[in-house]
Amino acid sequence: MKAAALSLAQTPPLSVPYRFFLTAPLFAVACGVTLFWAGPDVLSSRWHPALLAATHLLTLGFLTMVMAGALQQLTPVLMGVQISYPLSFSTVIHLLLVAGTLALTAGWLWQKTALFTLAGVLLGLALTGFILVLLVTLRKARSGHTTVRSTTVALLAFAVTVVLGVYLALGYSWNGLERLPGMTDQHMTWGLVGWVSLLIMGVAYQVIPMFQITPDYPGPMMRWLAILMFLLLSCWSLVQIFFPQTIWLSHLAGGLLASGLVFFLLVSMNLLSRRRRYIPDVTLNFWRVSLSSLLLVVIAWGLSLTGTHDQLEIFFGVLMITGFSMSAISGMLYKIAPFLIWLHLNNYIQGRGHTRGNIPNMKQVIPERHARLHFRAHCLMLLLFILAVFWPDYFLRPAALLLIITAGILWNNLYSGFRLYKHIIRNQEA
Amino acid sequence: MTSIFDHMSSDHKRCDGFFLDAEKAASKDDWPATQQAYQEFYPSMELHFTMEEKVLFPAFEQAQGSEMGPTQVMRHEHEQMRGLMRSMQNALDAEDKDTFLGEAETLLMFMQQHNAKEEMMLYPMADQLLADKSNQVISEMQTLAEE
Repeated sequence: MKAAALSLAQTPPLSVPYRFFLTAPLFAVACGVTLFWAGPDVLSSRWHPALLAATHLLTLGFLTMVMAGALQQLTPVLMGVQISYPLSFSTVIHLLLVAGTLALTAGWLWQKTALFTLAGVLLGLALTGFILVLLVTLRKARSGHTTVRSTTVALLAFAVTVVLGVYLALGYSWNGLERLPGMTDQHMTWGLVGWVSLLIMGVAYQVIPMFQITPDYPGPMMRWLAILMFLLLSCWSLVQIFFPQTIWLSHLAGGLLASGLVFFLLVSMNLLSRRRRYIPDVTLNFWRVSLSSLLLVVIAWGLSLTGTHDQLEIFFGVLMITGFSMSAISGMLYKIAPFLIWLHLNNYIQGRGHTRGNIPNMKQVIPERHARLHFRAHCLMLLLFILAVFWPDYFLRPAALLLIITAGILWNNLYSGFRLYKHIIRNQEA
Repeated sequence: MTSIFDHMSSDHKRCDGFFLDAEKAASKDDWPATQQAYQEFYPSMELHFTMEEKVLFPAFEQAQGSEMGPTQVMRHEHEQMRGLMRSMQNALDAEDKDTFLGEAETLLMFMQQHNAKEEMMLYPMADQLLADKSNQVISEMQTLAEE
């Protein structure tokens, strides 16, 4: 056993994850602006170009952005493996992801087919590069924790999402690529139920017991649920491709997938209700909203089986993205971002040989009341989006406005922490 | 036979318990109770660190044939936690609730990640590496605790 190869302390430079964290809220603002500009008509169909643009501003620009940054931080720290050349890797992936997301959304908004080719290439490079490097790195992981396993499975699901997505993007400009029926459904399901949900599940296995001080998730669940979900997703996909007429089979696979999500949310809610930490915590609130949204998602999916309801499909997407995923990710950011600022300041000051002077603690880096303001705005935004699905004329623009405000508060909270960091470093060097 | 893993992980849990009591009492402005819980927490943490630094880590390093590696990192993290615990003590003496809870939040984040690294990597490695010497290491640590 090569113990010396273990790199328990290797935290990458702050800019590796933080550039992703500071960029993500800006894409959420761009999504709000797009929806506000497009107006209530945007919800008339799930194929509306502005809706597709807005969706990808959130899924790529916000969710994937934060998760890519967080994974580059968590892999060395919690799973004990280093990504080689972390700074160059982070810089390249970040630039490609930003440029690709902008090209893709601009393609829809200005209907320029060349932009889809550009987006396909940029995002294809960014995301396959990211997935491959992470998969290779995780294979070396020495931590026995099941998060390694569920992260690997989530990355594989992401790979399927990316392949389908790049194919669809290139299909806008290349006539030779035939758009097969159901392909966008596959892309969406692998992205939201595969990549996003499986990653959130894997991270929850580790961070909920650890930081909320709850009992652990059941061992067999942590070992098998993600893999089972991946297999069910594969079955569901194959049924869609080969037996598109056999409705009951597709419902069966979908029902089993939904049960997996329900199982996760019930266990998580139960654990949170048994948390041993007494003091309230904004991350806990975000988790509760996230899990409740997931419950509504599954209920909406069940109702949609009774027939085709365009509104329910949009409801499903809105809640899955802004309710379940954005809430969980925002909550986690309020743990990870202030902690990283503290850690890097502490390492820096110790490195200079000073004793611990006046390093601000986590609640001084991002004050609790600022995080709570974000939480309240976030809840109001969710409520307005739910209403907007059914009464877009009245609620879409207010919801878009609230998204801009919510993302603005998040950006300001993250940035003020970063500004404090810069300020202290400058003072030390002066 | 208890393993190093069992022995040390349960000590982490015990320290967590004192931490949670102190944090809860402080959030209710109950300073005497905070002081009481903190006086359980601080020495328990210090003892845990000492058991590792004086007994477990040297045994681990000897078996591994090197002082570099994970134990070095763990020692460094102990120092960082000691810094946070001193700040908590100062805030407690000044009955400064916001600072106490802010330092506590930071310590909790740090401590839980540190414990996770030890429980997921270091202790299982120690059990494997020390094998037949595990019992002796555990009893030496217990002797330290009784002193």
